[in-house]
Amino acid sequence: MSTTNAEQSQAAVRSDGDGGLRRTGALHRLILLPEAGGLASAIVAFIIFAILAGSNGFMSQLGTANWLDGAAELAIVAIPVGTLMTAGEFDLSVGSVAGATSITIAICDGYYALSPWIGIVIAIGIGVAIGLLNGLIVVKTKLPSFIVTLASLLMVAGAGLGLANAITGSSSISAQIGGSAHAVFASNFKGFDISIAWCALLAIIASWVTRKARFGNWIYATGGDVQAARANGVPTDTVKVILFVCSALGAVLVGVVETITFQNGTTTLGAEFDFTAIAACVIGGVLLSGGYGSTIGVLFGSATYGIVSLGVYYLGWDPNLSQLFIGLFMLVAVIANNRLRQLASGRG
Amino acid sequence: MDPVVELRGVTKEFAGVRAVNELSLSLSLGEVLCLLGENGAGKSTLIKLLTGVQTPTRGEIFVDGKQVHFGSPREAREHGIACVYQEVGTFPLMSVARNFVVGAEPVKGRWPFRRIDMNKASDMAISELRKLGIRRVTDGRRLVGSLSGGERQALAIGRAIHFGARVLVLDEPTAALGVRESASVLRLIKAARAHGVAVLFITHNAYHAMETGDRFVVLRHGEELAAFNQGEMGIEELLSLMAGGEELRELMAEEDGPDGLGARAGTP
Amino acid sequence: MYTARQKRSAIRACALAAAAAFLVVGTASCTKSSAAPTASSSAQAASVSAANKGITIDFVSGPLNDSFFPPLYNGVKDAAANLGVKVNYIAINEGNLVPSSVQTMQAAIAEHPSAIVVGDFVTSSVDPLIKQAIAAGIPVYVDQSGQESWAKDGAFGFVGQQGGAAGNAAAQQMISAGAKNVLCVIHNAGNPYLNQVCNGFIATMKAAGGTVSELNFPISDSTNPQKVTSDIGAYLASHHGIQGVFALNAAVGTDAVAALSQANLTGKVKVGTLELSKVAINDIQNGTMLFLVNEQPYLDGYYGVLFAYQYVKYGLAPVGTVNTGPSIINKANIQKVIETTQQYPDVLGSS
Repeated sequence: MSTTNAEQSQAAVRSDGDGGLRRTGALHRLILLPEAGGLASAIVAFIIFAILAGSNGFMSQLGTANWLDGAAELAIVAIPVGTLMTAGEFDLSVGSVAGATSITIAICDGYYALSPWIGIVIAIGIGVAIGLLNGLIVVKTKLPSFIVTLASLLMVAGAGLGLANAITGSSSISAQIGGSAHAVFASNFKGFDISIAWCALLAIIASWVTRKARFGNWIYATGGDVQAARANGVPTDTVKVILFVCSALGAVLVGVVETITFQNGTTTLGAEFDFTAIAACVIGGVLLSGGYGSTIGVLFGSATYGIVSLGVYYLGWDPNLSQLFIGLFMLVAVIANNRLRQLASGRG
Repeated sequence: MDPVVELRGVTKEFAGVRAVNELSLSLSLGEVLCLLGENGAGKSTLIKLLTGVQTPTRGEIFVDGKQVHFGSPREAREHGIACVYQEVGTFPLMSVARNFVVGAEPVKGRWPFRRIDMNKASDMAISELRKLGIRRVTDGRRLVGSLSGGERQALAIGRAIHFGARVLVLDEPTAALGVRESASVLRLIKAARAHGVAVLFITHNAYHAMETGDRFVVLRHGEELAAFNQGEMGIEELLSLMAGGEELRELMAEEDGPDGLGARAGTP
Repeated sequence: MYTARQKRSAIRACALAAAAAFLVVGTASCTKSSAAPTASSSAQAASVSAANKGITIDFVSGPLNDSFFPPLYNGVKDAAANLGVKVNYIAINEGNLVPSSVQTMQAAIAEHPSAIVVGDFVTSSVDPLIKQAIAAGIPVYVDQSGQESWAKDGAFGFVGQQGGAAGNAAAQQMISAGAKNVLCVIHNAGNPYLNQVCNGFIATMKAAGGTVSELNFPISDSTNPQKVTSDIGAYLASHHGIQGVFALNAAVGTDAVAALSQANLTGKVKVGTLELSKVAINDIQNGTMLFLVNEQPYLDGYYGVLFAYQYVKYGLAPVGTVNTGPSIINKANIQKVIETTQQYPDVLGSS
């Protein structure tokens, strides 16, 4: 054994390229974690809004449920998107997949009066198909995933709209869904949606896979240096295709949750996720260039965005300002996160 | 000793261009073969053929005397041929331990809870580094980005050897390194040879080649320009050969140069 | 321990973050208190009078990047200033309409204001929340949209117009002008209110023996005038015989006028639109646009705050529905509109 527990509990000694020696303490270890930036952003955001809006109901039970629900729904799609980003690829079609899911469920339940589970199964099928299509096109043609998924974003959105109008004449359909489907995807306890539980489940699975499983190591290797990964026997194409399917399924899940929760199916549901998911990932420490990131970080990034985007409603500001504030906050969070990572890796 | 890897009459064509032409090469265990040549000489294509990234248009590849066809890098790896890239090919944002086991992670536990045995991975990495003379890396959780260039090369080489590579293809390992780092890499090459591995050392630095090579092959336009053993050629001659040698002198001496500029008036 | 250089770096980074935070917060609070009302006298300012200190009204309505809402917001601000009461305007995000409609209401409920005024655009999603607010003891007044369900939900009144009525009035204008084959342009696919307007339009047209076709495009395109103009132009080119175009906001209406002019159809095809804008008013004046349906959003904003305030303070409110529209503006009554717009630029519509 080269490292004993005693050694681990002491400050670790590391050497520099230039021969200097530095001791790193427990605090430095904490900052080194990829989750550090996201956690700091979430804490700062919460403190700011607690100060500014705490007396307006932001910290009440309903207020907390308000932003927690929003953060959980964002995280459900941001976590798989972030994992795909860690492997070096983007998925911009998640918003359209959520919209297609939404309209599918609403049409099946509201228009054809079938069990909502049928709509859910069809939506899962659609998600898997789109994920496979995205993944296979990206690995076979080697086109940038940004472009490929942008194309699928447009195609799926257009198809969804066309189909919805053709079948029902409208792109927004009421979906009063109760029963088991409602219990599983939209039940509510004192204001807190079950989406929080789904988010937690997804986070546990994703975190375990990326940190402990072999597949997780393959994800980081594929994102870090795809050629070197391939040369070492990592099946990078398979890894990418699987992750594209996962991001599509994340979009399906959030589409199901939101449609049943808000009792409405619309083709534009989730269109914002294309951007907010990436924002949550970047704040959570996922590198746009791939090879680095953590599930827990994305959770914190989602929490940050949830707090800021919903907290502004409690401020009583001119609505023009709220938008500005959200954007500015995100920018500062990203810059601070970047700086923190540079500091931690010794290049500060 | 029988060669571990042999290329016989290998040719590779891309859209009418012959990158490698009727090349024959052999590598033996415990030996360093230096492959030299200018850019475009065919070195990278040769590497791709050896490591399974490409297949030859004509010619055969033999491993341990048996003919092989590599359909993928994975197959080449299974036959014991591993490549360490110029860009080092380690993952700077991953830890030493993770880097070491990419593609061959040791696992413990039963499905669906099968996970990487991080302690084992860390131990493997540190001990292989030690065998190659690197003592300053003691924590497998360190990010590879915090290692020096030479330490990263050692990690890549140690990884290859640990996972059964018998042939190490090193593609310009010293190209991006300073003198101090290069020296440590050359020491690594010798340590690998001492391990009983066959090393194919691709470089365009004649000095580095001379320091480590047992045999040398110079490529030009995809063909063998010269082949000799250690001691048969001096450094000056080798430098001249690599710079273009005979051909360069002829080109410089022409009355009307290749671009019509011609010799200066009055020069013999 | 860190090197001195690292420590300096860390301190600099923290200071930067703190400074940015204070800058934003400081700017925002300063701007909030100096946000001057428009048409009413600025002497009253936006301060809360002592008598009304405990009253807060949450006004949940549309975003200011949709041209319908700035006049409404001005009405809200003016009422708040005139009455000396605190109003929190919570803007729904139209790009994420359904979830945002729910989240904004949830935030309003969590704030537990004295009353909530809400634009109920997605009734299937928001009605349950209206009921929830009322159950929590917060009176709710429904504004602009939600005319079918406000009574069932337990709200104490409705101010606005019937979407269908706007469509009816528009159709009457088209029929009087002799246009029987008409196009209805929906710029926000998925907005139920716009669908209602169009459906009302279709019903009246059909009853008079006319035909209506619909052109949908996503809201992201609707803010791009080039795109809208060429989309409409393309539709007209491929569907001959269209005699009129009915748009659902002023920007799209003026884009339709541009499309007609490009296709040399000005005068042959009639154009009408919902909502006012300076450009649209000019178009009416020079005859390139036939009519405007004025929903009078300023009144929706002003009355929303006024009625909520009177209900909270005195327990008084108008009974039932208060209609703020539709009112038709055409060449006959354009003069007063022009005068008002010149004197009070942000009340009738956007520029």
